[in-house]
Amino acid sequence: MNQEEKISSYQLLLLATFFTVGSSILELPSTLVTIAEQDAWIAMLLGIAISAIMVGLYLLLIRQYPGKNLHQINEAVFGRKIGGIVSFYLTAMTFFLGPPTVIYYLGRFLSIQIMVETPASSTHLLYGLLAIFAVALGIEVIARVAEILFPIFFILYLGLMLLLIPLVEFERLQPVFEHDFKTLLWASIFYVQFSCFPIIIMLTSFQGKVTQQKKAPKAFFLGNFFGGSILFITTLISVLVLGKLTALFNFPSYVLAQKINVGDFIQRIEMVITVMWFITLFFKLVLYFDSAVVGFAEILKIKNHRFLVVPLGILIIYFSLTNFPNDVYQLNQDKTTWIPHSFFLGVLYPIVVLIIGFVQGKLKEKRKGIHRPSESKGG
Amino acid sequence: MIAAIFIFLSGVLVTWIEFRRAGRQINRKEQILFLFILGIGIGLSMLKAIGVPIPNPMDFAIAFYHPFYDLLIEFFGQKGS
Amino acid sequence: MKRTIPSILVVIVLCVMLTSCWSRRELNELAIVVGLGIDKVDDRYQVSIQLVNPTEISARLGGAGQSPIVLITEKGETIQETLHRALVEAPRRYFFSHLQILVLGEELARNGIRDVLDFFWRDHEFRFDYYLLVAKNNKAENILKVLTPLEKLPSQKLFSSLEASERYWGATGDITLDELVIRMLGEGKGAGLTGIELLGDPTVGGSRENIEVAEPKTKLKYSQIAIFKEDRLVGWLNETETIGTKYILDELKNTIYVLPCPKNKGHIAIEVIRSNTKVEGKIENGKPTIHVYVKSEQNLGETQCEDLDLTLPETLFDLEKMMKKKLGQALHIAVDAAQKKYKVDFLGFGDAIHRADPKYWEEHRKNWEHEFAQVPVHLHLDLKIYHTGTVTDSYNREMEKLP
Repeated sequence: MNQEEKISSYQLLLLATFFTVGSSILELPSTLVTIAEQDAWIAMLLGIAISAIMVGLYLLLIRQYPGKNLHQINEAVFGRKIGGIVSFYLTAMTFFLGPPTVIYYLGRFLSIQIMVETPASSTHLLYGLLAIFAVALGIEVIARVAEILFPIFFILYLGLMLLLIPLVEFERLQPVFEHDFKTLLWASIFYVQFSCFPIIIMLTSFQGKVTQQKKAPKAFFLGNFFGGSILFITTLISVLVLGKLTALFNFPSYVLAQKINVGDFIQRIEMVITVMWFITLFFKLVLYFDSAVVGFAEILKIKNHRFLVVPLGILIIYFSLTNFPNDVYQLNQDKTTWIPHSFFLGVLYPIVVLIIGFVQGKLKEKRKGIHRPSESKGG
Repeated sequence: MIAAIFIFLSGVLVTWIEFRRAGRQINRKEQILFLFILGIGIGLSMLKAIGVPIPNPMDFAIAFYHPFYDLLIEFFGQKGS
Repeated sequence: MKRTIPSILVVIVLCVMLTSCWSRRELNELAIVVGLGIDKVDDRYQVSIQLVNPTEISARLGGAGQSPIVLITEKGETIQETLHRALVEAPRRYFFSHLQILVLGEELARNGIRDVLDFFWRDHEFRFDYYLLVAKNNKAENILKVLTPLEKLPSQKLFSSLEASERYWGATGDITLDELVIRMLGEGKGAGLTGIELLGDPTVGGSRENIEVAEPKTKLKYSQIAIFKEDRLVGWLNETETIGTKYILDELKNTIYVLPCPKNKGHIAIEVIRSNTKVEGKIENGKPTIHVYVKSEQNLGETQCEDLDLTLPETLFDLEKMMKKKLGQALHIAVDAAQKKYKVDFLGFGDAIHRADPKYWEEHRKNWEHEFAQVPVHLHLDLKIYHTGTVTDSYNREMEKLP
């Protein structure tokens, strides 16, 4: 049944966009401005450049092994045992650190800004159940939901940014390039750690399911780029409107929406950003979750991966409630664990696989005298 | 206590619904895995509902990744940020 | 039958999860707060809460002769605790999202406002669209007591008259919390808040008599701007200094200047229609200098002069020159107030230097407080008087010509 799931390349583009925007649209400007101050937008540009290179690398990786998802590539490259361990480590760690944090973000946002008295457990449970439901229905349904929700998201986003233009003050950008390259690079890592490195996990869920095979890599690349541009504009507007204050808020985009006041008529529309954030977080959560389900099924050699959805979903809800004793712990944890982990997942791992695959290919070439990189190696 | 019972009941319910849906399609291995992972999730949730202190696995993750993070901090010359 | 039990379960689960009324707050359970005042009394904070009396301000029922507002005061160590303790006096729970003004007592302002503002920054119910005021020579409590005519809610009156005077007079500043914090965190570490003055007897102001007469005995009036160094009030700017300051900060939208007639008695009023200011910092010979570029468009609004021949183009050019001199003086007065009188960089010069030369700034940031007083300021004024209103020459002069 799952083999027949098909999505179009346009849907893939939208999913990649949503994954890139994800939780960052509310939080990212704050982190970037904390580090790079008024140069945050340059750091963002740098981040987009880095993610373009990295996504290109991921696409190169799957082009070398057509028709295989990440775990099958692992097996082909590292052999069955080591490949299994590598797959398990990456999948389990991403599963443990990723989706619970996404739910926690949502719960935190809701209980800080909107529904202060509602206990976090009920929002976590509701959102977790929604994710379980979505993943159980399969990636095809999720992709269609993306197609429906994207116009809503995009119109709201565009409206928000246009309404903020009257508040823009260009002086807040100066002095440009006050910070050195290293600082900007460090700031840009906070973008790529959420939006670019982990996007590699999407390759587990989607490999071989996109109908237009030739357009798929382009769609994936463009989706990431498009999401990056959305975040770039958000960061730029945050700096232009709030300046240094961006760093002081937990959710600067929400404050931006609060500041909109067009002729005392269009005002108090901050719920718009909540809707947007619900949409993007949903896809971030579901894509992490789905890739974990597919990954675990692959590692444990189960054909029907639907069976893993509910138990893993319950684990996600449990972790989201117990992993983080408080907000500050979560913020620190996010930096200390997620930056190195996403670095392993999104930089070290694909490069190692590419190098080993390349060397193996050369060896094989010598032995057989023919160039067929798509054949399984080392298995 | 009541919360723990409810969590347990919902676990049973989920198992029942899932097994009914799958009918004969499910094999032994899948059944065991399902019950195993569900058991972990339900068990941990019940323990939490009763109030048994469980070590936070995140602490281990932090301990594991901290050296790498320190390396990065050192490389970028950032202090604490 | 096969699907009945699961569907019932789904319905139950949905009912439980989607009730969506967890933190609901009905309108009839809320007391809407429009004004807040904070004072420091014996090392404790005193919070005054101005609530709306909903029956009294409803247009349809017309009101039963009660006061349109209710004032509640309470003391405590922290703002949040005090606000919650004040609930024992209130009929309903407070709702802060419609807050219009936040008044700070002068004594509190002189002791530092940083500790007070943290709560307003942190709490989610406060938005950033209320204005901050300083009660000049007074307690915030007294300001919030006064009833005002025309607008039934005094806070609403203060809010809208501040917006109007900001727009058409320019000697006040409508500063919200985030703007204040931007300035306090700026390189100059100086900020200004509008002062509010109470004229008359506060006890009379709080009673209904005050709004039953055509000219209320007790009035609220905006006057002067309080200058903050970091978070402490250090002094007050007068009207001229304020207008100059707002000119430099490029916040002036519209104001009136008065010039004396060239020869005779009488005055001319010149209305500033548009103005645009740029403050640029430069490092010249290793020393920081400030260049202020002002571009201002003005109209002649009123003339009492018999000798002013408005049919001649030269007259307007002469007026431009006079206006230039006058404006230059006003700006110099503001700069002097910053550099000599208070020694606080509320004009944003530090930011200008920082923008111009980050490296220089990095080295001299610490000394800026001392350096600032000696920084030379050059003014570059570009002034145009375009229109003379619906008439050219005044009938004043026609009357002179009559035999």
